Amino acid sequence: MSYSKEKVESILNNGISRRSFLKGLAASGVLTSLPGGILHANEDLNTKIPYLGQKNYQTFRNACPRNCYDTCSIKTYVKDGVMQFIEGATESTYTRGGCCVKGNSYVKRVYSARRLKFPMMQVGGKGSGNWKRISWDYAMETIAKKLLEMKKEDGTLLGAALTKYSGNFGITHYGVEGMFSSIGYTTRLAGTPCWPAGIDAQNLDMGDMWCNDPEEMKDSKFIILWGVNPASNSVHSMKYIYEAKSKGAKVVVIDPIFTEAASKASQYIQIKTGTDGLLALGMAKIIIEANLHDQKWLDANSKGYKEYKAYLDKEIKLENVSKITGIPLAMIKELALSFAKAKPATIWMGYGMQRHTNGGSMIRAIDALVAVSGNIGKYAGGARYGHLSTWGFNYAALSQTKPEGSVGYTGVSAIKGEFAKENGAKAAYTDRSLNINKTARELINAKEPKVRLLWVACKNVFSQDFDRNQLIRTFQQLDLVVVADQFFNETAKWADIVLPVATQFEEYDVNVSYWHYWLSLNEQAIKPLFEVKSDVEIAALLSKHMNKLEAGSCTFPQSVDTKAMMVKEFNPGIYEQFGIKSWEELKNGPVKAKAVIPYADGKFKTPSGKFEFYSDKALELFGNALPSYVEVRKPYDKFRMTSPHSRWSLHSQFQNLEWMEDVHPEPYVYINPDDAEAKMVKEGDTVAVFNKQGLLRVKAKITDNVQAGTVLMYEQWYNNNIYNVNELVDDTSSDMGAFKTGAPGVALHDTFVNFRKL
Amino acid sequence: MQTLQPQTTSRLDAIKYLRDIFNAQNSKELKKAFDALDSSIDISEEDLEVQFNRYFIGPMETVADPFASVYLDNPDVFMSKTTLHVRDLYETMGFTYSLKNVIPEDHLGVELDAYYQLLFLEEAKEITYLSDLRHYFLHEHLALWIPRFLERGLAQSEKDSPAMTFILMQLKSLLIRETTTTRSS
Amino acid sequence: MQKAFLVDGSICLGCNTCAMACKNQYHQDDGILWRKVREIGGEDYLIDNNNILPTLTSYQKAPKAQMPMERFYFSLACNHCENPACVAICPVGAHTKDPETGICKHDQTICIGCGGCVKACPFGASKFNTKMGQAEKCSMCWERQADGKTTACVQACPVGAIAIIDLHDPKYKEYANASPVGIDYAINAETHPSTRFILPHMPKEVYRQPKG
Repeated sequence: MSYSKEKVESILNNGISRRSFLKGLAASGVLTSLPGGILHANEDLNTKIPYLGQKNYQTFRNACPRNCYDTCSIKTYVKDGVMQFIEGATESTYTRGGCCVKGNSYVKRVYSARRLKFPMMQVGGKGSGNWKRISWDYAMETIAKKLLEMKKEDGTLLGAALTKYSGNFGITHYGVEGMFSSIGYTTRLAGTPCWPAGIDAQNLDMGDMWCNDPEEMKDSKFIILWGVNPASNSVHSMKYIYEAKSKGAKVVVIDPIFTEAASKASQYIQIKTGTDGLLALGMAKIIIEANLHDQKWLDANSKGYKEYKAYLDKEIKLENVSKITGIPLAMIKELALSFAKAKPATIWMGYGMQRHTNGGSMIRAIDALVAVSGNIGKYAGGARYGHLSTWGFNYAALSQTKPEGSVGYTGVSAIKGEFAKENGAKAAYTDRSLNINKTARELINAKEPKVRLLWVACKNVFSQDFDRNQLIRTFQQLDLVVVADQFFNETAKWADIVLPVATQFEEYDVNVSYWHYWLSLNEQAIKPLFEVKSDVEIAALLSKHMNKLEAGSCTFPQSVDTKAMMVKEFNPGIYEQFGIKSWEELKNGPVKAKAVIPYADGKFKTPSGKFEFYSDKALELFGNALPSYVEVRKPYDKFRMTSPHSRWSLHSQFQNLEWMEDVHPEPYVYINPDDAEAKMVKEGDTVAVFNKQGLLRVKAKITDNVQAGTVLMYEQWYNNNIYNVNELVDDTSSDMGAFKTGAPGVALHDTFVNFRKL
Repeated sequence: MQTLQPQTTSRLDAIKYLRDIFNAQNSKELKKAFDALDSSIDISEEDLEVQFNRYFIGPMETVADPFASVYLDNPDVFMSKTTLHVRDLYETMGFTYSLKNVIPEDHLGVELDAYYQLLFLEEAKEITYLSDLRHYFLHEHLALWIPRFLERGLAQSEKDSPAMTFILMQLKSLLIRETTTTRSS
Repeated sequence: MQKAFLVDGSICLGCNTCAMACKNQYHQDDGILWRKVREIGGEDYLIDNNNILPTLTSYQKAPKAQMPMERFYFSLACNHCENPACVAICPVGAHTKDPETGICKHDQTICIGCGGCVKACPFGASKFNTKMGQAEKCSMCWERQADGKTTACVQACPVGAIAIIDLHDPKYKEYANASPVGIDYAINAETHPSTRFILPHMPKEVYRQPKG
């Protein structure tokens, strides 16, 4: 190996050469890769990187695995083994070359100085802040020993619990659940706080949750964005909405808040919160009375239309609809009739809209409205909510067998989760399920056996679950809490062992979306930093240690290659659906599934095979066979608190990065001017927002974006700021969710608070 | 008899342990790093420290001062031209030094730290941006003064300290290995 | 040619993807943004955390617009003026105007950190980096453009609210306004900023719940 003495001397002695050299230091990854000794990396160097020209970079394919409609396909530019910058993949018409504000902060996230680097153990007890660095072997041996000890004492591993949710939706990350299956029957925090009410509703009506391709919206003639804010939470969808609008389509936003999407619509209608279902029923009635409904389609493809119509005739009075929704009757009529006349027309229902005690019933009502208008099964039509139709992978990482002789739960165990797979035969034993929406209490109340070990992955319990004070008590009572994560957060604070996890750029995976129809390969773009490991590598290491102590105690492979795991997920069905012959084709960019229009053939997976206005299942489970008006929860305090998702973060991810703090530094509570005036609160004042759950101190912004009687605070987690809306959220359940996901959702927007100036 | 030692520890680890020896803050750290080099020399922690101090630290006149400037500039002073040159080198390498003006940058322990970290980048992280600088540091600096330091130290240690001989021979082997596998162009 | 940003406030979501795409591309230090998404009616353009030095030139302010909070925006970086103040004042030639493209480039390897450009620019486009003791600003990703790509912000914008146009091209002659509305922006500045704006507007029909 040779080097150039002249080159070095030129760098040392020539000011411009030297400055140029120093400029490249950051780009080279030196600053973040030095192991550290007496000499430390100089952070004060110019850390800006130059653009060096396409051919000077290695590019890789990645995907954003976050819980987001848009699941971007990413192109990652790497130089000398260091990520330089990312772009969105141009091959995907959906991503169209650009990620969002969060995706563009990925380089900062991967190389953040505050990333978890090594396995650590909290030696002073949970919450003490006294951490000791431990080796991976020591960490996994400790956990393995505890698991085997518990199995010996209890005769089962039901005392081991897993809480894992949507931190990473890459398919191989179901290997975390697979890891738990591979040790025996265990306890799972199951269900979902997110969208179960709507899932149930769509399944009752149509036998599935299966939305049209969002890219079709550019050809819709009428789009209702109902309780959804894509301008904040699905930015890539907006271009299709804009295109439709520029071609003359009407875009109507119905929302209690004048959202970012509302500001770009043709028409904004502010509705009284929780009355959306009634509005939809009223609109259907108007359409039918004007004879603009699609009688032919309804005759051929629906069950129970007669009963539904009778219900509308008898029970839905338009004056009442107007009064309760707070919308003038003329406006409702105009909306209904123009919606019915436009062909095709579509409605996009947001997850926020169903986070009420009557959420499921509202989705049913809107599904029915779309059906009545004849837009189910039509290109650029549809009642849009989400889909899982491109998720037909092998789930090899997930599917691990229980070790022989495993003893499990014999009670009733209904809770699954929206991504759970149905098994064929019924086993004698099952895992024990606890409701993820009642984590704090269910963990501590579980008996025979008690829960003694908790593994947290792809989830931030303290940021996203409820009843914080009880969570602390619960965690403290558990023998061993293991948290696998990328950053130190409040959940890690109450852990015993913290395991540093790889980002998607440091591992292989494969990704699809629950909204669009693209498939993305996720390649390993860089070597894992420090000692981070992929969730599946962690599982393999656990298996190695468990089998070392007791042969056969864990069936998870004892060594894994994330690339091989990714390859194992593909099957002929996926290849057929996406029109490829091999996963390797994805190295050239993401591909789109062959176009299918849901329900175009009139076939529904309901018991009757038709669109069900009248659903026996709905009657059995939820007391109402028909889409009906159900009143929303009555207030228990002075103001409704609505806590929508922020554009700056994906739950507790991204806002903690310095780059994000530059564009969005702090949280606010948004208060209507009349409400503010009544309490003498001015712009910028610090107020206390409180209810029986807790209290938050936050700065106020005064705006009529929120209606009187409602305050708005975005759901986010900041660095060095105790702000967390879950302090105030009451974990009251929504009506539906138990049918398909085993437990109802949470009526997050039916939280009530009061506030006062501090 | 001075002979090249067979390589039992990895290239990076050998540098790391030698670094740790010369940066040890107490007898425990010194012994730990010494033992990591697998000398098979039986010596107590206290004896090791005593000998090490006599050779490299003080309080009496040392056998061999572990500072580059002593061999390259004036043998009676620290913090001279060479020190500043090394300081400049570290800055170009992207380092910051918290003991600036407290302990000279050209102390053997600090220089071994720099060399170790640069080699770590290349070997463990496959980052080659500073490779040229590492070679320059090796051939145009370390290779100039360390042999003289070794000569002075070994002349004494061969007579009265197997432990110090071992350390110095480890360093000598390291330097020979590094310089013979890389060349200036 | 005079390359210019065309900023469409009527479709801008205020999502800040553009600002972050720029950071993603160049990794500017904490607290420094070359492109900022300005809220109409929400803030003063010139009173900027990045600019600690006041401008020399006095200018006519734009009229403030009354728009709902946090709903309408203009994304602004450097305005690549036809008659740039930074180029005129720079004592060492770190600021240059490309004769072919009209892009105003800043070369940080030459910059001596005198702060002249920071004071002279009516728009605060030049940011002073106190850690490095130098100025820095958007150079319209000229290296990316030379490489056949577009600027990082234009590439990333999910709705195409920023585009690159050529002011000298007749098809853009009457295209859009030369000044944004509602932010404290040096309208009619002598430097002749090249950035052009499409103005935003509220939805045609807005219904809010009545009071009481």
